[in-house]
Amino acid sequence: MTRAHRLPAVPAAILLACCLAAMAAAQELTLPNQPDSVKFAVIGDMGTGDKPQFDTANELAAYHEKFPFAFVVAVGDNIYGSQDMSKKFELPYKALLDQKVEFYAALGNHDDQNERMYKPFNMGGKKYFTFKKNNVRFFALDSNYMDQAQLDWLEKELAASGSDWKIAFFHHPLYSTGGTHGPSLDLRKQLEPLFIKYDVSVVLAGHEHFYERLKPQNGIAYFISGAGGQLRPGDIHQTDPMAVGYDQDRSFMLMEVAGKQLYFQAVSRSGKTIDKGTIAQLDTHPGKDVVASPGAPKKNQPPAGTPAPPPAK
Amino acid sequence: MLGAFITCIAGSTWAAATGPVNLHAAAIDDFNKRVKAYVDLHKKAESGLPPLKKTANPDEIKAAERALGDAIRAARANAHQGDIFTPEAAPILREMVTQYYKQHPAVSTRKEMLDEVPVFKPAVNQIYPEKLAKASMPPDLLKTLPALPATIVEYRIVGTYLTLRDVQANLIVDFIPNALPPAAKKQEDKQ
Repeated sequence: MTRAHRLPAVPAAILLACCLAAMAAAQELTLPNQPDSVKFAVIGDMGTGDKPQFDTANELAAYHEKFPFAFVVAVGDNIYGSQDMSKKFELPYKALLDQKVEFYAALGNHDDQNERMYKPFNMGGKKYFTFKKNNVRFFALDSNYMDQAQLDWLEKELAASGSDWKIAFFHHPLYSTGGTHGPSLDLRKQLEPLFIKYDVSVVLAGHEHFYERLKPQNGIAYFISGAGGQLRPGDIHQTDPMAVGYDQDRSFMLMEVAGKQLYFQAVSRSGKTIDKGTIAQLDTHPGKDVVASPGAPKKNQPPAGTPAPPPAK
Repeated sequence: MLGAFITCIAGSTWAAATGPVNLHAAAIDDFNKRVKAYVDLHKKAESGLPPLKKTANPDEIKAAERALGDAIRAARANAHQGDIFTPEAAPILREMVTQYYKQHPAVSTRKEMLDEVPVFKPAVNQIYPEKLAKASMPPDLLKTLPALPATIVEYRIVGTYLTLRDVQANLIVDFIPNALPPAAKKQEDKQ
């Protein structure tokens, strides 16, 4: 007889109620969830087709019930190895795809560039592209191959984007305290001046298999959300410029732009909040944006009131 | 940038040993013409196939990639290493890579360079292994190397090789051996 069989019998309805209560406790939405805001999620380094990807995707879908984001930004390594889209994308995110949630993908170093032709990734056949949602302009870049043609394109598009919120996303982080990769300095040298010149507010990256929020650099908020399927436990170095880091489990991010405020929440695979905060878009440059977050500036230390994350495996 | 590089190395021992500046410029000009000839061949091969459209069916994408690869391989059945990276151009490009890493000596840069660089011995017309990552190319190095029409062909580092890869057909078009500095070689030896 297995251990499960020795447990006292409990009516299914009670079990279900207990499960739902536990899920509700874990899924604490900290975002304002305003009716006309731009709501989206961020995932990265997820396309393994393994159980942790499915678990994280399920948690993301559960949050979608409370926070109906219209689209997901994928920061690369969308599909590892063979292009088994069914196992590595369509099945894990089926609940979201069924509800017409759109995905916008940037290419990682493990991605096949022909993913740009895969309709559900909404890349429009391009390795780098831009799209707009209300007052937010997104720039999806190919950080694997940042040649002059792409830099020229980016500058042209940034210059034309006016006063919208500008959010760039791509695979390789410009800032990171990760021990395995660390910051992409050469890439930073090319991109950061453009981001500063054209008032980019937020930069989202992956590549590092953890969650990290960096202290604002030149008025820009940098996030790493690269644990949508992969994980590198203990890889974050608790050094400057890390503000909050979490490398003990998979994770994803939720974001909401409402007027001049951007709210963010990072969530672990088990549904627990590991970081949260607000970014205010100011009107003038420099120092246009101020990151004001209540998040504790420590590694793997969720904000006060958040249940402790599960222990390292 | 390329002109500045050629001017810069013209006075060096290396340049003095290998020839005058105009020969370097001629070699790069010839390289660019060969790249263009390859792009023309690619487009011709592509024009004989059903157009690849954006699709939700990944099998269609893969089939189109393979069909294009097959057509290009057939058209270049006699291609050899050095057809595009000619013996005249290869040492110049190799020196560009060497100079780049000399100018970027930081440990972190070397780490970036070696980070997830795939290691295999490339061959002309070989399909780039699907399961292997593609090493990101340092933007400053891309600024130094002759520009490519990157929607069709691109540079990629494979071990200590600098390769020319067809993006859409996922084929190795040509390669330069021993293009990377010794740190990369050590990494390659470990694997």
